[in-house]
Amino acid sequence: MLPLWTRIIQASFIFLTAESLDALLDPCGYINPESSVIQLGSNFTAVCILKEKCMDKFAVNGDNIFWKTNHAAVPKEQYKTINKTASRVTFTNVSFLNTQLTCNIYILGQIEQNIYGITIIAGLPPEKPENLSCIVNEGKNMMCQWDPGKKTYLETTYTLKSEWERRQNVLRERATESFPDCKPKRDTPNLCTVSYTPVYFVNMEVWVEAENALGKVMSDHLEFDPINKVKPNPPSKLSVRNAELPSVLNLSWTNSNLEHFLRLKYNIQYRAKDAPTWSQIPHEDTSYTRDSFTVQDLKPYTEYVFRIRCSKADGKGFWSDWSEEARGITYEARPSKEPTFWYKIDPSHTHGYRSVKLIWQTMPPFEANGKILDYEVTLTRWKSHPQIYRVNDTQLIVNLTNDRYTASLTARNLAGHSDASILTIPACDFQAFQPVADLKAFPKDNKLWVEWTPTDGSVKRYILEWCVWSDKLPCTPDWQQEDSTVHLTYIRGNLMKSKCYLVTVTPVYGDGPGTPESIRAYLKQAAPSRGPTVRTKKVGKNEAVLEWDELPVDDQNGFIRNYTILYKTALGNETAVNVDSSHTEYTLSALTSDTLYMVRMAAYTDEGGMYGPDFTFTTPKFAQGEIEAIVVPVCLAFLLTTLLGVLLCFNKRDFIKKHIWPNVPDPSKSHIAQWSPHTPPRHNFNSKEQMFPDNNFTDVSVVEIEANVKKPLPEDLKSLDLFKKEKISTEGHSSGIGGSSCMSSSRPSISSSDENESGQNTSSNVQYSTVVHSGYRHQVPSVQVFSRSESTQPLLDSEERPEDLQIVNNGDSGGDVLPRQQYFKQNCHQPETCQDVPHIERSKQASSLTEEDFVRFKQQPTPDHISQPRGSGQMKVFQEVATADVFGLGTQGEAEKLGMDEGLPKSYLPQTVRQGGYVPQ
Amino acid sequence: MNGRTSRQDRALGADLWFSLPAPLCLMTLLMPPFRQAAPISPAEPIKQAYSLALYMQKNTSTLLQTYLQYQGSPFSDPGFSAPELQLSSLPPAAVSFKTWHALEDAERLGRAQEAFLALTQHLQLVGDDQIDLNPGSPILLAQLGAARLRAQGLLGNMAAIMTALGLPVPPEEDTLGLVPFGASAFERKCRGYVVTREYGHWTDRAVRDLALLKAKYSA
Repeated sequence: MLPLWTRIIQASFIFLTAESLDALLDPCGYINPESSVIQLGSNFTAVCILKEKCMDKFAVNGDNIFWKTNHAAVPKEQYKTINKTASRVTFTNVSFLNTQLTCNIYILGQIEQNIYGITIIAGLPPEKPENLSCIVNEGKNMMCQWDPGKKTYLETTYTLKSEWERRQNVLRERATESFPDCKPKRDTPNLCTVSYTPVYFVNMEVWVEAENALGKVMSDHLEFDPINKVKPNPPSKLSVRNAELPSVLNLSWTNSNLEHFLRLKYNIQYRAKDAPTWSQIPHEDTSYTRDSFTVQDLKPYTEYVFRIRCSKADGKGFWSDWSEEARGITYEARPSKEPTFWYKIDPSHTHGYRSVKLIWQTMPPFEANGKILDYEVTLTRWKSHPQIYRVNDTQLIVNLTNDRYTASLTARNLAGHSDASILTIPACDFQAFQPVADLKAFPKDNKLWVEWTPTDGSVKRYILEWCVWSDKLPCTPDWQQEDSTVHLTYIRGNLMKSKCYLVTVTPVYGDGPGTPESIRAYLKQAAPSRGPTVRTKKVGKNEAVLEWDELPVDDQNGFIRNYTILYKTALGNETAVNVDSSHTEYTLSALTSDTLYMVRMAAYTDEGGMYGPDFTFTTPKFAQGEIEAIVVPVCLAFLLTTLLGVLLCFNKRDFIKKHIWPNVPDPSKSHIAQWSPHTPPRHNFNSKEQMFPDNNFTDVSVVEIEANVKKPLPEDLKSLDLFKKEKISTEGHSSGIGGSSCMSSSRPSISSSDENESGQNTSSNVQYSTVVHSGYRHQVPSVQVFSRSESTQPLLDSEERPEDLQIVNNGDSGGDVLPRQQYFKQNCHQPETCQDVPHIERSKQASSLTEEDFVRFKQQPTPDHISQPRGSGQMKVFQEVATADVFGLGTQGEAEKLGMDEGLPKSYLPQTVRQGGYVPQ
Repeated sequence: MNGRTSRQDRALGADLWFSLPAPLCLMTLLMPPFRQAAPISPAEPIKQAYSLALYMQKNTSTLLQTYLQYQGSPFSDPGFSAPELQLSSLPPAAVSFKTWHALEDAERLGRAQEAFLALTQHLQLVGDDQIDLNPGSPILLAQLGAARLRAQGLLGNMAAIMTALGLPVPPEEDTLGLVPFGASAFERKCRGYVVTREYGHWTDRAVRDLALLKAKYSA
């Protein structure tokens, strides 16, 4: 089975191959029309017709035909079967340019077989060429060009045809030759240069024929005489020759060959060497053929450039190109104007003479009219012989006397002298004339204009001077001179932008100059180079005074119109304040206290502003004096409170004592208290307190109380202790302040007694007194033991008075206040001794502790009678004191005497006991 | 068509080229003008013709000099002149002033036309001779060609004047038919000399003719 199938396939393959070969050699059909060129946008129809034998062979008919364009199948809607053998395809509004159209069939229903193919090329017929124009460049053949119109997409040929003009039909008909056609070159399809020499003065006709597969079209015929299309060669060999006059130059040239048979006209142009634009000689002077021309009204001593072109005189035809330029320089003429003239007087004035610098300026070429050889300056003093100077420079420095001079200046060139400039140099004591008024300076059109109003009609001329106004450079003025009629001019100098110029206008009168008037101006302002540096002058809690310096002129770059201050807190918005330019300080108000502020400042000219560096400051928390206002009252209040407290404490000391440090009985003391009567020490105290002369001392009453009522004794002791303690404290203060008061000296005695008593009362008391004592000890040497008695009293008096009163009040029960006072008074001369007793006691105690103290005591000056015995032996002093006391007491009243008597021996006893108590130690 | 045939004929041989073209040309020239141009002012064509004549006049001496220069001795010798040489086929330009002045406009123009018609043909002949004699002389050939074209142009301008003046264009005459065949190189050079010389003379005469007409019909 398999070999059979293979054989069948092979056979069919061979058959098909043979058939297709046959088809290639002899097409099965054909397309009508054959390959064709069609117009874009038109409709195109083609029919494919099958041959009978193929139809039989492949068993196909017209229905099996399908069409393809460039291998893409044509939609079925576009073709239809006409009959058994033919199919017709139709393309409407053809838009393709080049297409292969093929007619195909399906063999056996599926094998594609090409039957026939044609090429369709689409394009457009040529448009009528327009704008045909011709030109005949002299010496060359005629060239014509035209506008071909729309693109054709097809190969289109253009032909330029020429003929004798139809009017001369006789000629045309009789001519043995017509002009050859002109075919454009490939790269210039719209331009053609004919091959024949143009025949001038004979009318001819030209036209263009455009042709392609779709059509042929002719342009309009252009009729002309070639001479009217001529573009001559430019005149050659143009040369310039000086004429005799300085304002005239002669031109000559060689014309083109056309001059031999037609009239020419010319354009002659000239300009000064540096001038940008050409001047043209009027047409009427150059409207006929010529080969030379005299140019007049030229400026002397100026180089001119000339050029020339020509054209047919009747205007038909084209202008030639410009000739090559030719140059010539006119002769010199005498300077047409007098030179500018001004002077400067050297301010360093030597006696009787002045150094005058006469200055003038190089004349501009249009006034100099030649090369200035030198200047002649003539100086004339009143009626004296004139001095003549010849100067090559533009200045002359002369020493003149203080008289009035007249200077005249002329410039000289080859052709002659200029008119003279006259300048009057007034005498030294000359009063300047009137200045100009309303001087203004303003920039306009990139120039700095100066305007003024004359105040006097007799002004001869004006001198304008200007210089850069700067802090860095000195004013080196430049100047210019203006006629008397000029009241508005611009500064003819190279001014720089953003520089301040000082412009000075001086009117010059016949007899001398007027007063100069100055004004500052800018050619062009700019923003300042830098901004003002702001700083604080004063910073308050809610305000800050900012100050800044005016910008230096060199940084201003313009007129400072205003300042802008921007300030902000670290977080807040920026606030801007505009400040007039006249200010140099500004107060920022409504600031928040204790805040960092950032300030920057801009200076503005008309052209913009520039910020200066940032500046920060912090507002203080408190205003100035606010702290004082708070602290002082607070301190005062505190002080007052303290004082009140102290006073209160004083007043309520008993109460306080009772509550805070109640008198705790000292066990050791209690022993002694039991053991010994209290009177003597108490008496001792009393005697000490007798130092206060004005007071009725309570100790007496205490004694009384003690005598009468035994029980409250500890209380009394307590109060006494308190009193003493307070006294110590006050003494401590006073000694700190006063130092040499007698209280301080009395202190040790008290403290010593304190030691005794506090030793008896509380251990803390002992300690306390010791502290005070040791602190005090250093001062001991300076203390005068003897002065104690005098000075202690007033201090005690002031300090103890309230207590005294209290005690008095307490002791009212006793009733006899006055006698007690008296008693104190009587005893007043003896308190030293009374006091000294404990003092000695103390020193003795001290000696037992430190030998030093004792030595100090010894060293103290002791003029007193008491101190000597104290030094020799304490027992003796003691005795004396005792006797004194006794004696004093003896003179006292009876009531006291009783208590006293009782106390005296008692007081002795503890002392001795105490001494004795120490002894064993 | 005529030009083309004549050229083909000429190409056949030096002896033959004379036979055919002349009668054909004559045939065309004898034909009356197709249409009479609309009556226009003669001033414009006169002026144009005069300008052309002047323009031609500027070039005639150059043409003669160039021609002689290319022909070698004795033609190129300085001061060469052979006024006695004439061509019977070319009407001589020389005419006494009296005769010339007495001529009618039509006659004067007619004679000039006749002469320039002959000249155009003779210049063609000379040009063809020179292609043989001096093939490497494009300047001379260009000048001869230009002269022939100008002569044609002048012919046309004159016809236009005659039309404008309402004068009949004169009948054509066979000029070249009288030129002998089989001329030697020297003869041809001499012929060329006479043609270029007479071209100059006739141009001068045309300038005078037209100047007269211009004066007459100006404005």
